[in-house]
Amino acid sequence: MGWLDWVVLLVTLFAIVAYGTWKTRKNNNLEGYLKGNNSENWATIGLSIMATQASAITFLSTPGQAYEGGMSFVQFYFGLPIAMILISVFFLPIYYKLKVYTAYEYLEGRFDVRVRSYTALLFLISRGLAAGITIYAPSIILSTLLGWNLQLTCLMIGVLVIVYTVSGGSRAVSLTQKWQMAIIMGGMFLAFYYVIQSIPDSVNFSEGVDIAGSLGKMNIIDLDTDLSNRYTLLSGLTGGLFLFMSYFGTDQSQVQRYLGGKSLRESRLGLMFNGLVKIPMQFFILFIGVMVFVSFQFNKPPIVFNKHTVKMSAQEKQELKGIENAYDANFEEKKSEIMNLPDNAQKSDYKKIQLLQERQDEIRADYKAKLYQIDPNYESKDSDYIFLTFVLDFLPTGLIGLLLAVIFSAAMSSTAGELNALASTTTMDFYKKFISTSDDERKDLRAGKWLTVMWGVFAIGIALVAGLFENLIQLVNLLGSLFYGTILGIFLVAFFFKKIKANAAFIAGLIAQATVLIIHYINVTSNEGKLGYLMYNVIGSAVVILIAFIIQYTTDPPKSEKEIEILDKL
Amino acid sequence: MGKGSMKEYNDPNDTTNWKAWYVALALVLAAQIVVFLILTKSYE
Repeated sequence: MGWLDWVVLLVTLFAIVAYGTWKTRKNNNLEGYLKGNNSENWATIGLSIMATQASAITFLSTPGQAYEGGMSFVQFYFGLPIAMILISVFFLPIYYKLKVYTAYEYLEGRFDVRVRSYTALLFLISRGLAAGITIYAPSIILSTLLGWNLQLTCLMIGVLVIVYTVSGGSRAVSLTQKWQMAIIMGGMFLAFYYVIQSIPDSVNFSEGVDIAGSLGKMNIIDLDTDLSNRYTLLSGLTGGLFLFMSYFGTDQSQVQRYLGGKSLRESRLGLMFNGLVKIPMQFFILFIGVMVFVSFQFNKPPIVFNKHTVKMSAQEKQELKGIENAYDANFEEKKSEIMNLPDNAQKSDYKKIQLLQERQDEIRADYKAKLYQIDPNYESKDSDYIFLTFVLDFLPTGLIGLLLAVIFSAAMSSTAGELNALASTTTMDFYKKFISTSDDERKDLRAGKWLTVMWGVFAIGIALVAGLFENLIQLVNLLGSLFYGTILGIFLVAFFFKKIKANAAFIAGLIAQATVLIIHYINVTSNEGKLGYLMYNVIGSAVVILIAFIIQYTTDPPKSEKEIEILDKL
Repeated sequence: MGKGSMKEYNDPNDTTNWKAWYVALALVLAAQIVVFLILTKSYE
């Protein structure tokens, strides 16, 4: 990394922080701090929604995922446009009409304060831990590949976010996210250009895609109906729909983005924009990974992408050297076969290349297993390191800095959205509800700012200790699906089943959460066919609705209109 | 929630044809799935 990269990276990051802080410096009331005084247009809302969802790991992991397993991950997003329509029709108008600050506020009017607090608490647990991982996940990759200090990287991301999120609140988050998204997409288009440039001139674009397709990387749609298969058309349209309904409709980090809209119309347009652009964007990011795979058919990739240093004996070094030699020879043979493909290559022409690719994958797996055997702390899943390895090896100086700014921007934009939402929920659903008794606006604003600092420090703290708990990271990645089903179920009962009352909803929420946690425990401990985690969202929601119905109709059956009329007369 | 009961929550001054938006979005999704399916099948 040259001095120019440092200049580009630091200027970009500090310019965004300064812009967000400066533009929102006159913010001095709680509504402005938490809802941005309802001033955002649809473009800001749409970009802000996308920037909150797309964390740094989206841009680091997704291309690596396509490199390893192909394009099937895009199916995960198929439920998103449908979720946008349903939220636009049912959720958004109610939030607007009731002028709520948080999604959970609505639940108190509909049910009672218990349901509101319980749902807000589930959100705080899952999002609070996730905010730490949003900082930690890119930091570990950057520190491994660039030799940076892990703790300092976590601190830098966390502190920069705290500065403008505390100072300008929701509006600063949305305004900075707009520019962060511009940098992210600009950087990714440039990266794509350099990926294509790295492929030899003798191979045109269509031939490149054919190579990827013949080696199983263009497997976009999977029609399998097996529920243990994580990414299929069915799981995307069902589990994905529930996940995105819950995430965009009930997770405060997203609800806060569109509640800041100028009008209901602007917020709806923001959601429509997200629904239209999200799948093509994810397809593009995955496709970058596929083209990196094509590039690495001609430019020899390292045998492992995670360059974490492993201490070993001379004999172990010798053994690994032997595997490396086999890897090099296999790569050269495969490259020569690809270069000698006829102009109109048929499927049968790729047979030998497919076999050599399988051999390459086996050699890589052997090498990683050996490294793991030598050092059990070695992280053998290295797909998260693939894209950044390409960036560092193939992009010119200056642009490496820009791509690192992309990763930082993505980490900062999603962390900012999370901190902002965590602080809003704690302020409105707990502090103003149970602690602050006065209507002193300045005092409440100060509390909101301090709570943002507190959540920022908490997120940095989680990021600093996350490395000690590998299982925690896996759990946090799952957290969304572990809690979202219950939260969505409670909201669905609130919106669509008017006869179900607070008590039934609250008990059903507790039972559903316990059910999902038990199913998850069985899922991870059993050796039988595993259930894809997206299905937890469907199960959680379904259990809330079912149990709420049973409790309501067995303990206090809703009265018919005739009965109510008679009771009224008495 | 009965049919049409969302009306009370909607903005009466908004004349945007949201139904057309929703149908268009659903059609775009369906078109994407079809294109992806064709691409997948062409490399099987």
